[in-house]
Amino acid sequence: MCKLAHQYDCINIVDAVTSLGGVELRVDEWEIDAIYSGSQKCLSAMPGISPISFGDRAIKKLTNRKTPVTSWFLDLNLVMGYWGEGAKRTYHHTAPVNTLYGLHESLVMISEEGLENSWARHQKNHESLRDGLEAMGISFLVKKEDRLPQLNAIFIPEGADDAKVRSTLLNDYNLEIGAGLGAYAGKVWRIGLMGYASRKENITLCLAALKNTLNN
Amino acid sequence: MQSFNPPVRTLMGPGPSDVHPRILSAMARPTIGHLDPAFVGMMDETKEALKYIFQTENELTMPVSAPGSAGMETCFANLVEPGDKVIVCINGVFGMRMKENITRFGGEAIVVEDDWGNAVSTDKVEQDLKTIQMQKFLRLFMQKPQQEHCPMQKLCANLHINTIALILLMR
Repeated sequence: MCKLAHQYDCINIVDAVTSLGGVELRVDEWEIDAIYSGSQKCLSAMPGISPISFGDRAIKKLTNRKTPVTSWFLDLNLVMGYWGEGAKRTYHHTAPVNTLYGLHESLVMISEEGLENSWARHQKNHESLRDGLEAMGISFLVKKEDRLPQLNAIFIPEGADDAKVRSTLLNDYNLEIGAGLGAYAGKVWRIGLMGYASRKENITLCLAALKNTLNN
Repeated sequence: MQSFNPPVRTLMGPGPSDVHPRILSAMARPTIGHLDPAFVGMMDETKEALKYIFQTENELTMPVSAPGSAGMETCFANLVEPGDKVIVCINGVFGMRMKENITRFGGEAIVVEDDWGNAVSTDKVEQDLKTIQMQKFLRLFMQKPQQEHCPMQKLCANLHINTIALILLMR
């Protein structure tokens, strides 16, 4: 899609909130011009930070603007005075210091694990969860080749009470799963397997809790 | 009013996800000033590590001080100018949000929709690109589109290109 954009002289902006750290993503190789993500999904970190990256084409668009960026807080021309190269940092806004410690630690952890190992772990755990769900007769919303391993959207089984099941899981098992959104509200559940949550214990808990709840 | 002690949950929704104890410990370390040289050193390491996980050499790689929604808005605020035409692929709720961003920053959103849950078809996007090109009176150079849609669709499927926006550059 990104190369298509370049063929037609466009720049592309990619949303990688759910994918960063969990599936293959290669900003330079895939010619991504601008990309943003979140700290609270596959990085196992707290919510509150959005890692971004801008390539040369995006920077060129930004520096050639005819009008100023309408948001002062988000204006990268200004923000980079604080985050940019060199020892001198110009105050722009007060960075969320402790939250950034958290992000830093999550990056230490993913470096320790290895990026590609993290991708592989997410895929493997998705497959375990998928196998368990399918064995219960539950089917997936998205066709196999388009699925993101970290977010498992499944059809709510016939006869199950959407809200009641989710609240039972929360109250009895302290397990939170996601409701469907928009056109899929009441039709699907979204089960995340991201970052630290993407591990065996959680898969086992989820399958058992869901099975018990659906049977009752 | 008493201290808030949250229940211990297992987070398997769309996010936030379980936070590793190491990260919670890190957050509890002593606060220092955001312009303190020690903090600046940590910022530099953070940027380098972000480049690694994005697999990029981009120097403009950094953490926006707010959640993913602000990261989205950062991209649109900085890259969309009044009058820009932006193709936005909608196959989920965040595509709608991108569209909102585009119009608020003065751009014209051209929506390509696909069923929520499917990867957006590159053919649909290309159709739109072609139509817009024909309407333009400025001549932009066009190359023959590549026929290898398969790898590109795989890219879309692998990336959470639940949403992607293409900004047409005017020459």
